[in-house]
Amino acid sequence: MTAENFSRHLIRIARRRAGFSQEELARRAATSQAAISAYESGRRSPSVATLSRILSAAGFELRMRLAEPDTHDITRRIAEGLLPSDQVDAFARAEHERVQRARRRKAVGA
Amino acid sequence: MPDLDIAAVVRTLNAHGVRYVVIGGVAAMVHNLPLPATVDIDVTPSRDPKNLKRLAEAFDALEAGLLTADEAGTWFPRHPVENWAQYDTLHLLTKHGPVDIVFTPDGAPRGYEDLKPGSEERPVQAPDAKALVISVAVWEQLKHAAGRAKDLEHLDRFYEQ
Repeated sequence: MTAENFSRHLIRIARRRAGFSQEELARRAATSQAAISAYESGRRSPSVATLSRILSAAGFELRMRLAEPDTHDITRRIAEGLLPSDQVDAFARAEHERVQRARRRKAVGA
Repeated sequence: MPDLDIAAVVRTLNAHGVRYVVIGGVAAMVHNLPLPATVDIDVTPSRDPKNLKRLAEAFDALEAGLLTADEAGTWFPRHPVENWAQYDTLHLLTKHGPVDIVFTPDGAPRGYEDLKPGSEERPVQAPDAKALVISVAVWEQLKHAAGRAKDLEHLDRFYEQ
């Protein structure tokens, strides 16, 4: 995972939780809507200082901590390689279809 | 070769009287959140010594082996239970697929004791495979606490619509 992924999701989550449009967040953070859009899409990556300023403009505080590397994805990929591929594929297909149905239901209910 | 059968994992844990809570992607799947689950089931068992003995018996029934970056499902001694229960997380490969034992997930420092009150019994992939599953609110809380890039991505998608 790259730093862009952290930044883009943090900014989008903070903006949505604050109920701001990209324009409103940009105005409060003294930047442009185009910059917010670029950060949220992952096309550009803000510096830590800029990220902190944007999150602060949405009413949040950036905190960081150190953690041991997560081995979960590595071991899961190994396990998937040991399972029958047709079963893994069928599971992934079923989940994809369920997620599409859930997203449609959520969109209709929204 | 193992089979992929998440419900069979749940049935086996239940048959051995293990007290646990289902967390992670399978919990999201049970609540029909619009996020794809992965093939592994994450469970947080109680660290009560009697429960750990029941879990050790379930490991035998599941033919559980340790998954590491170098080893694919290596058998490990079930006793003394302290040898494996001292770790926060165990990645296992069982005859019914991968199982992650997560004693203390981020956001729940007392593990099972923290999670049980916010959980309710739900069928997991089959009507007869019931387990305590964390609520959506707790799922959200654990994702925020974990704070890995993929957790933020899941939260982002969860809040999307």
